[in-house]
Amino acid sequence: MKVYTTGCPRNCYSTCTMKVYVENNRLKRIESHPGNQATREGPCLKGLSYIERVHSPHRILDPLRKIGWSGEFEPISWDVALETIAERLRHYRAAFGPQSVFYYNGSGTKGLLNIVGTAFWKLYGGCTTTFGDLCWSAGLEATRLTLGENKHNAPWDIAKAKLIVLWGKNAAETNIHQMPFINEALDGGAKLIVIDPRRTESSERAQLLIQPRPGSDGAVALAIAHLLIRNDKLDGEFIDAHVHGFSEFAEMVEGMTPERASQISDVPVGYIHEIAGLIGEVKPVTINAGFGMQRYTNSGQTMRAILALLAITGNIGKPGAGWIFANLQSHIFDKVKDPIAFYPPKEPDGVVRVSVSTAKLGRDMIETDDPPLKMVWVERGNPVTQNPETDTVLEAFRSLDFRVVVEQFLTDTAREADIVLPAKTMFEQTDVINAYWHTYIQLKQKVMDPPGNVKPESEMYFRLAQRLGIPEKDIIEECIPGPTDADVEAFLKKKLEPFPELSIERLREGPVLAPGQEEVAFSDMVFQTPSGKIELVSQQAKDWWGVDPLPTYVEPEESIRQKTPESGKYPLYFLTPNTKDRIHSQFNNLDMIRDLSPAPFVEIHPEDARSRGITDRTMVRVFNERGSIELEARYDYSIKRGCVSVTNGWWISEGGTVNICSLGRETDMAHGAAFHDALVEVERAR
Amino acid sequence: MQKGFLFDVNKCTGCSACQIACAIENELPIGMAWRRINTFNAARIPGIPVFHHSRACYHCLDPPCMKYCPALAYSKDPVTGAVTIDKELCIGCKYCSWVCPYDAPQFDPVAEVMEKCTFCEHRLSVGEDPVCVSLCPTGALGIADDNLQDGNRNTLGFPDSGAKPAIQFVDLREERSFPRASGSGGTGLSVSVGDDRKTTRDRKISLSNEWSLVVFTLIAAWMTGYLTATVVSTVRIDPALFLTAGVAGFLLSTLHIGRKRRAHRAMLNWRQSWLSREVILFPLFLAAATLYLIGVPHLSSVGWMCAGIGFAALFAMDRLYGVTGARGLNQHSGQVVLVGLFVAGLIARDVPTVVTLAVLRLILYAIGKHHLRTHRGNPRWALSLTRVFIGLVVPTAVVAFEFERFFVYAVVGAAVGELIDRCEYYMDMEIPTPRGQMSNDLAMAIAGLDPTGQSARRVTE
Repeated sequence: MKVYTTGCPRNCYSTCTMKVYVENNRLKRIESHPGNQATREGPCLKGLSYIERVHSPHRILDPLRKIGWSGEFEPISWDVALETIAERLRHYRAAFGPQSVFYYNGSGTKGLLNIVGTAFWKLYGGCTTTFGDLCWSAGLEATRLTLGENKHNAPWDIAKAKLIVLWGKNAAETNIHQMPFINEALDGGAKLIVIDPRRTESSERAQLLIQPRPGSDGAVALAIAHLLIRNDKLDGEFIDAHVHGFSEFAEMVEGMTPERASQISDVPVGYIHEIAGLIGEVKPVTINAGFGMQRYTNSGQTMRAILALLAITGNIGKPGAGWIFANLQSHIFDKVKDPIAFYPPKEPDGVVRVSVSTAKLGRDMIETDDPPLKMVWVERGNPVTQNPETDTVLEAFRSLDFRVVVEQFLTDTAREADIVLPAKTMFEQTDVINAYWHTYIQLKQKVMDPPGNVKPESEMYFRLAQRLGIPEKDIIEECIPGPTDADVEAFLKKKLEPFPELSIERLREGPVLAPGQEEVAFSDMVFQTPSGKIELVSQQAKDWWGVDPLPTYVEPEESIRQKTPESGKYPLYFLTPNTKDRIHSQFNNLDMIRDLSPAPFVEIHPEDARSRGITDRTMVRVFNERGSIELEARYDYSIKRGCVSVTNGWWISEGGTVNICSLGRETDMAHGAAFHDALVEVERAR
Repeated sequence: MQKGFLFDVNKCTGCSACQIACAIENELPIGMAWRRINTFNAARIPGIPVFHHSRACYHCLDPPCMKYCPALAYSKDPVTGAVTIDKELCIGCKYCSWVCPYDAPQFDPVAEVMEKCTFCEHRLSVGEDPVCVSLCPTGALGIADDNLQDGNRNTLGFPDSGAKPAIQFVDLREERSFPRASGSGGTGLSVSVGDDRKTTRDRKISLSNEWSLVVFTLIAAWMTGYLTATVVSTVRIDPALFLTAGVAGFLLSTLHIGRKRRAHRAMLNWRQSWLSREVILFPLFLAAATLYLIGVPHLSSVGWMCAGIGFAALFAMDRLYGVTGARGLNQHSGQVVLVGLFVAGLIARDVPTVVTLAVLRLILYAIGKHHLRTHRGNPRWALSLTRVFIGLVVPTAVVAFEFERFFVYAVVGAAVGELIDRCEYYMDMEIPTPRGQMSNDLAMAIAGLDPTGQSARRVTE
């Protein structure tokens, strides 16, 4: 058996390093790798399940073509598949211009080779693509506006904290490798506060679980700031030296008394005093904000308000202290980092039209004109289940002329395709990956040949470019590597060239910390903001996004406090968190995982259930004016009353995606998707 | 040195990586798991912690599976302490799964034998930890190799048994047991997790699976009773009919065995296993009965010997269920020794025996019903009255008042009554399981939250 070191490229905090054992082109065993200090205990259940995923009988191993309107697919040769696509591409370019082709890529896998897609579409003559992001826009932008950069202390540094606030994060399920460090901190006497409408696996070891009304976290944060200022629990020296706009901020939060915040958020006043007391007294404080909280229409401001708590107490740039949201210190290959990288360009190049908002995918696709969209190419994504407003996304896809989806399995999106191209897995092509929690650069090694007729995307593009008559020299120059493993390695070597610490040979042995990474972020007190300080007042926030320069509290658009006809009809907040069993819509199709997680269910407080005549484990309908899904109800005695919860990522074919009930709508800043502004009603299924 | 698992309840997040790692390492088919997660308070009742136990075989110091396996298929490694089953020796009778309070042995429906966690002996032998330990992402699972004899096993939600499981628990720390929550619904909450409990109750033995054993044990009891009656009275039986019933019963008893060709192995553990003893005694009874009925017709001394063997077989049958630890089984009115004695009295028209046993069984039956009503809901009143009236009252009256004309009705009534009682014996048999223990402990915790005890009551229903 041969043993390789590799890294898991999923859209996940942990980005584990692992050892894989391969025999006769089959994956036999996956083990932990001690070289990654952040994930040394071993991969999660999903990482282990690659053993099934790679060799699954349901995997797509040939190009597929839809047979008429039947919904069935038939395998075809690469020749036929590529020629069909090339013919269409030539036709659309001639008849409508290259921008009638829509290129959609998701976050399904990390890697430097992901840029090959855009390179191809430029060679083709252009395309239309998306701006914004489903995942983390508002939080990235709030952090950038406040601290200047998205980086944080090393993952293991949280063990030094004396107060940990998991604000809207359920690390036990979404970042399990953080739990040993949190546990270490607790062993050392640290306190843990969790702020979440749900009682989660992560809140189980907390002293306090604060359950605000969804979307109202900003008000809680501002009231805490109010108390810190009123009780003079500030780090005056730190504020003077490193904080911009403190006096305006102090003036603003004077109005946000704990009483008012309590009215807004449903958090009892006593609890707000208690958190403020802890944040004021204990040092160092680490606040780790999750991604869910920043998917509301007010969430950029929410995140800025929470950040301010660390700024005014001097909990930045020190061991055991700080703001954990996203650590982009390993994103060394990006000339422009997120979130700026996914904003529409100030000066469009006229080749790639960046005009479709990811958050409003369906509607923007339908409304695109001059030229209208005729064809879509989807890779690394499953927008039918994962983008807001499923019905509109489906309508947009179905109104196109031609659809190509690159996939490993027949997902809801792949089922919409005319041609499905079989995608590689992480074990079938070498690539270099970064991370957003730890700062290791890793080699995701090719450890086996792709099974069946699977080809890596780079080779698909290479062959397609050849078919379109583009000379090979131009293809390679445009950063599409040739089809051999040596070509791919040459491509990666070129990318690694500027970093002498990072050679392919060195990375083959194990992960390497990104050059220049800081264990304690901002310890130099350099903040890349316009003022060079931590900005509580941000003119850029106003100029770019039209929000108040101060992190004021604004009620989300879809809220029971907005007295609209809808808020009366749909009184329940629809929470759609992630689960340990999936990365979004990946993994639950595997038998191993399905055995643990057989079907979707909605968690509901028994009192909310009873008033609707719903009993435990009976079928119910969750709905609003956008759509409805039917699933089983489960009592959860600790979920905040007025909230119901279904984990996201289920396919329509598995029982229904939660996005049937969400609306395509952007966050207050950074073109994020505000899926979590969602109200529903639940009733017994008929 | 005997090794064991170490489990830190504070660290486990119930992530199931251990289960998946185990399934991959041991190439288990989907649906089979040697290690599983059990969750305490999955409905997240406020004021009660939510925690998990990752459970597999605990490689007990005194393993009941090995002790009671009739086929001697189990062994315990003298070095590591690993308890393993030899699939070539196993007959697939599933008895080990009844006597193990930790649900470790599982039936492999393809090979039709039992299988279980091997403690990853193949890894231990090359100095590696079991895969569940080495891949636990939070470090909750570990290896303990000292103090196992009197290690900490008395932890919430864990069935403590006399088996000395090789496990050390790190208990849930008080200050980390559950969060104080700001959300609404903390006080005055009426808790009803009856449905949750229904799904978490494991029924290792169910009537639908074990109907052949119901029939077999009843046949054995009636044969023993009838034969005894012929010794003490002038009643006679048709040897052909009698022996046919015996052979039929014997064949029925082998139905639930996975590997019937190896069924003879069931006799091997006569030193320790009541199952082996039953398997030896029943054919012996048939042989003795043949001698008694055909060879030396109705020779009293052979008759007594034969009855003795029959009752010994019945006693073994009762004991083999008794050692599972199922509550109330040793006082159940459906025990076959009681059935045999009652039948003997009935057929011999022996008034003192019939009356004594009818009264005794009525009392036991009533106690059983009372337990059922207070602990698990439906006591099946209509069925119970039928059982008592036509199965005990009618036969007793017929014998006591010598209504010989109605004797056939008395026998039919008794047969129906015994069938009901015996079915209930299997239906009521709740063998301790890890999940059952969690349910019981949760009910206690809920009762502790609510001074009136009302909600605990609802939970148990």
